[in-house]
Amino acid sequence: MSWDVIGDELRCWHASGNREAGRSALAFLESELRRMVPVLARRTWSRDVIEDALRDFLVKVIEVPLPPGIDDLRRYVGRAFRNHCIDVHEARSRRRETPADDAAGGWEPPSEDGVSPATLALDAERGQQLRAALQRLEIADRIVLKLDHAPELLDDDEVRWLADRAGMEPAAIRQAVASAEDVHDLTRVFDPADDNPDDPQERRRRMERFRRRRARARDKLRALLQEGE
Amino acid sequence: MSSWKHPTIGPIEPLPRGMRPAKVWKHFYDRSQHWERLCGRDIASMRHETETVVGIQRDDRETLPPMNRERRDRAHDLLGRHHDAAYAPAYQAEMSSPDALWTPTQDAQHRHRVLTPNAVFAVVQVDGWNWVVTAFRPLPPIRGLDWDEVNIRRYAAGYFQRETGMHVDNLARTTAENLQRASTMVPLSAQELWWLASAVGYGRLLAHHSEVANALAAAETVLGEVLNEVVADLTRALNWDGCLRRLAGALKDSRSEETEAVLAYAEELLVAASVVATETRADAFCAEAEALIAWLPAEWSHLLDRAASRREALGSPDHPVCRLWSAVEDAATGAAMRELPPATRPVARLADAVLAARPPWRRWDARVALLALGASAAVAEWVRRSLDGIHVARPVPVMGAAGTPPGSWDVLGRPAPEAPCFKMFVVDEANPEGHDVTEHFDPAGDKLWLIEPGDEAALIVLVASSAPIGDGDLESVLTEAGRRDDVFVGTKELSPPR
Repeated sequence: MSWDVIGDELRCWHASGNREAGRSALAFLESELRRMVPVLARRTWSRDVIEDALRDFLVKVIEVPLPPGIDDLRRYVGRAFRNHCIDVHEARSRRRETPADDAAGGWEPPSEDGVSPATLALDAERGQQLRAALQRLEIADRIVLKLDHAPELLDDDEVRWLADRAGMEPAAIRQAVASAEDVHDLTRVFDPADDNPDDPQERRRRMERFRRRRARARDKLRALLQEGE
Repeated sequence: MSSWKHPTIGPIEPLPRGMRPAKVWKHFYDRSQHWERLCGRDIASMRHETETVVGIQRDDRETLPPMNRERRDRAHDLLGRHHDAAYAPAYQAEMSSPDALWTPTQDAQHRHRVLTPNAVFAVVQVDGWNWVVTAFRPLPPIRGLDWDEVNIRRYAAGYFQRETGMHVDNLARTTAENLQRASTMVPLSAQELWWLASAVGYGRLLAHHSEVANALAAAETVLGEVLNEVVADLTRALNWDGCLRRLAGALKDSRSEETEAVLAYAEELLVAASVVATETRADAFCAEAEALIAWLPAEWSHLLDRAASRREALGSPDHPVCRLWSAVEDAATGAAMRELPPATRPVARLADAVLAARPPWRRWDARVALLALGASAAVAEWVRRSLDGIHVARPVPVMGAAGTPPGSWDVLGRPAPEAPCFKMFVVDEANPEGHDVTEHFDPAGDKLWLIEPGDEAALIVLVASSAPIGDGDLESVLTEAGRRDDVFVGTKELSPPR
């Protein structure tokens, strides 16, 4: 399954109720939407907000056909999901702002988003530059950024690098990343010193060290991006 | 709508049709931007006319709410007409002024920015054809204070400088000038203090520049002479919640311009607040803002450069404003990271369950979820207590009935004491549109409902307010609830005992 075919699969589900098409499209979509959730939102928002928003969104996908005329389905769906998550967070954390009228209703017409084909092309080009710059980063810098933003994206080379550094097996590194509850836990994967995780001062020092390391990695990324321009 | 021709850029089209409704609602109807002073039209009547269709007040919400198709079409038609008749002629006339300041070159996103003599800030996209992306009047991040044209122009000039000339030397020079200008008298009002607080805030960030340091000392002296009441007035006026709401709204946009504007707004807020407000408030704001900013889409990666430039220009890593820009850098990097092909894909845990046949009443549940937190704490608590008390009664044991399948189960409950006005509905498979059981929900504890053995579940929807709620079915009651800010809606799902 890919973004190229999911539109067809969903149309098939809506037109014929083909359960297999619906199931595979929905599973792909859920997996992609989970990737789109920023780590910081996962850590700081109530878990219920994301899960409920995701469930509502998937329900809407199977109940309401997407509108015609979408140029970039991933971008369109990604934005709709982002907006839904923000709405749910806003509604629960501050005050109700969404009127009941059609609150769970339809999709925004794609023609109203003010994104021209030229803008789409420019964004795609910049995205490509960014991905290329990320690949050119030194492995340690890339790992620091991934640990902070998308630990599930660590590839085998990066996991091996961490395992060598920590004197652990790659599987143990994957396990440690998967079970990390916060950034502090992740910093211990990158920097396995023997400081006491329960000592607030040592925790602060470690976090500060990691923040500086991350800032350096980000600066290098920017420098690579500027080189490419 | 006709285009206007810039001498070097060429013809510039007005806002595209699809973007007009949102911009008219957000900017043209914004009372504090005072577009009526530029176009000479009765904007209050236009706003009122549209509010009647949309169903909410513009002052309550900066973005258009979701609407059903019929209402949306009517609203968009009106908004489009107001754009063509008043908003577009105003911003086009402003942009065509020979005294308008244009950025000499396009930015990396192929955009020009312009500030007009009457403080309209506009962004023009150049991509084969040229068109206006947004046009608004920048204002300081404080609420409840009305600004005259002199002050609006003064603020807009600074805004344009910061948005277009981020070089630290320019920033230091401008800051030194602002400090000198703000130190000429002791502020007697929150509005006057705003200028001093903003200048001192930037001055403290850039105090390592000698020209700033000299001017800062004099400004700090003046600041020390400001009456506590005036400081308190400004502190109260700082628009923390409004800024967060704007940020949430801007992040939902398809383009980055509104987010760029609200980040500038947040910077101003944090800088001035560092002079007059507590660190705790700024920290709380940053914590909430960071979680929202984290949603920056990958398409807005150009914000990485902008954020880094601001952070570097303003120095001081411990200052909340640097925390803000670092969050933008993190978010832009994170968004790019999430675009990389994953080594392992997240597991889809919900897809099968979602696809399984969903009870029809689920749509009400999802709808109520977005309404669930409103009204007074007392009403909300009453709803919670009343729902807590509703239960499925176990059948009374009958001699010799062991092994006999049960008949039906009574659903019992009574309103908690001191009931406000309320309506109660039950939704289940046989009543997907909801059945009104309000009159059965009484202090006597009558039977509310019956659950049959074959029933999967039922949803109780309790709508309450301190003011009367109109009659009607569940659809119309929830629609009314959505329009009011004094209604609380709670639900409880009931299943037959196993």
